[in-house]
Amino acid sequence: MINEPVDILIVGAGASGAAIAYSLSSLGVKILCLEQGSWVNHNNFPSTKTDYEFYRYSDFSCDPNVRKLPEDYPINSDESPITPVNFNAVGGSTINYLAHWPRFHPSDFRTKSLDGVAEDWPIEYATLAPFYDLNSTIMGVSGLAGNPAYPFYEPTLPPIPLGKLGNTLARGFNKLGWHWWPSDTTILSQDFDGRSKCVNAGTCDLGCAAGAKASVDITYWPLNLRRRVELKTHCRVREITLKKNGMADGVLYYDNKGGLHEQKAEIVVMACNGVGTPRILLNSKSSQFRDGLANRSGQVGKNLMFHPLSNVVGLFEEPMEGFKGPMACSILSQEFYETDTSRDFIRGYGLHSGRFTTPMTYALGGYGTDKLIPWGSEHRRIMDEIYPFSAGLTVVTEDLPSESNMVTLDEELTDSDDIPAPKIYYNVGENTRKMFVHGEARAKEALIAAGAKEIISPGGEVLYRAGWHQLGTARMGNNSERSVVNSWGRSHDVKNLFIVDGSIFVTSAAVNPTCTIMALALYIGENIKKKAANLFD
Amino acid sequence: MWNESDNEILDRILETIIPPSKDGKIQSANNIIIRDKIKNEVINDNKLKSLYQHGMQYFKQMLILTAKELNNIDLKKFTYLIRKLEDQKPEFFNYILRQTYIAYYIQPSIRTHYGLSANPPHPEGYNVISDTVEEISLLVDPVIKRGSCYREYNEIKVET
Repeated sequence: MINEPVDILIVGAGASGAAIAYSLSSLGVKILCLEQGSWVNHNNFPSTKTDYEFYRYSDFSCDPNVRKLPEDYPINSDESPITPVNFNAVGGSTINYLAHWPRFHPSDFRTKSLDGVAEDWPIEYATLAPFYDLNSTIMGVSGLAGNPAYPFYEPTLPPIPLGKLGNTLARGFNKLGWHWWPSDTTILSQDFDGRSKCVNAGTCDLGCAAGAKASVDITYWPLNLRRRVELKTHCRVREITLKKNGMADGVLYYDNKGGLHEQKAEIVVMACNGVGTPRILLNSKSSQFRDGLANRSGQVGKNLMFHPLSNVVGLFEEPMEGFKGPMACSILSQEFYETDTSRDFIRGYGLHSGRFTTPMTYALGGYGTDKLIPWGSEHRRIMDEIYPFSAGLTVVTEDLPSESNMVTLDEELTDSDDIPAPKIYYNVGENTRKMFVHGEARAKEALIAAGAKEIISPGGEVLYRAGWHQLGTARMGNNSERSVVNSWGRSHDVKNLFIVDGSIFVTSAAVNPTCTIMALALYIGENIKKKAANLFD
Repeated sequence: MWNESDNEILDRILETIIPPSKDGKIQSANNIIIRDKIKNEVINDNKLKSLYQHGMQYFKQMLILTAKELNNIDLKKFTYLIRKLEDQKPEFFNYILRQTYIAYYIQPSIRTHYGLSANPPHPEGYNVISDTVEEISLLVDPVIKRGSCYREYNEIKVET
């Protein structure tokens, strides 16, 4: 079926797709967004059900290989210790993300110049700062102004409660004289913009039925629809089509009955995350692009970065009530974030104090693993003497880009529409391993300073389901031989093709990226508008 | 395919996987709800049915070799048999183990034991005391006093 052409076609209705749709909607042109998932009903989230924890291992698993819903595509992670996780729906992974919202540091944009590793970004912190601010006002960011780890900015709302766990750990960091700060989060500390404040249910990964957690289906998309952006769900894009002149012509997509549609557009914007976007580009082969669309540099799919992380747990004398409150957000220490040449690694990491989890999830190995805790008398001891008294610090490392870490197309595995599935090749780098050794030792120090009597350390073992942040697989740059898009998201090779998701990151920093992904999308939207008269020059 | 001896054996396995607390305040996993959950899953899924039959058959053979009645096998010996089952029939045992954990911790009485609500967490949620502005200011004051901890840079020519 051939559909009516549009001016701008956005593929993906998650964080970046929603943000750029909002930005471009002021142009008053015809914008269509195609989303492979559907709208999710917040009143029906697992956290409203008695067996809510079970959904972590079935329909609401963060892992599409477990979830296996019709809108999901499989991912072959046999060659990776970390598997990508996501959610396919209007709102994308903001439906099940944990809403931690730290910005990049200024130095994150200049790793080559400052530290001699990776590449510099073609933009800088100051370029994105106004878009960080704009995004905060739409998403509703809770936090505390004055964080000395950043140039000054002001979150929209006061911080969420630190809780017993956050308070305890903050005192530990203070004893050591280390940096820490209340986490920035898109979880509301106060009622805001028609949304209710957080009720501390502790089930952020299962969708927030209170609407306190900002997912873009309840923040940006209502605005976008009012501004006449059209959104079609259950549309799975197979490939981007090309005109003879080398410009993008539109896409081919399947509806949920398997019907093939052709959608033409003047501009195509990819917003499918760091795995989904290279997958579609690599699947868009033609006589002009034999190795995949926009891939003359050979960089599409390369330089995949996650944030490898490990959890260090301290046991305290009192129950820590870790199941109460937002899961990932309490306090964040960036004491070891910046490069220190006296260490044996470059760049750095954050110590994130999330909260703990519910008994079932703990018994099944915790969040992100499949390693069940022991059975028998040892089980009883762990659940009664360890679980309630535990508080953890997560070492979140900066992942440096490496061409051997990549997304390719699987030769056999496909989704239900026979589109090749992505295959991940990934190894944890030596620099990261050294960070783990350092980070786990520092986390232990902090936990003991906070009063922990015993430490359980993972010994550098990374969490398998930690591939939330899929970055770098179509990176930005001024050099078209080393990058896929230019400094404002336009493909070097295809002048009417833009990429706005995490795949355009040059480096990963050591913080959760959604805040920066959305700021980048807003920044790219602003550039498209400014350059509209000669966009394809 | 499921008879009374299956019930007895499974109950004993469940009790060994998650025993009661020493003071008896927390029940073991040996209860009819958990057993029936596993039973219902097994009898309604052909793949699981086959897995279960092979696993349980192996375990029953081990029991026969002990030449004792189920009730006369002490905890130490029974734990040994389960370890052997875990080693020899890992797929079957891991299925039982996982289902036991899920069914056990989903029970309202177990949730409340650990301080969680017996009900779904929404809409009530949990009470977490908010820190006052003064309390937070006091806590972050030492951090502020140490000054900025990020690197500034001058405009650097980008070569990428």
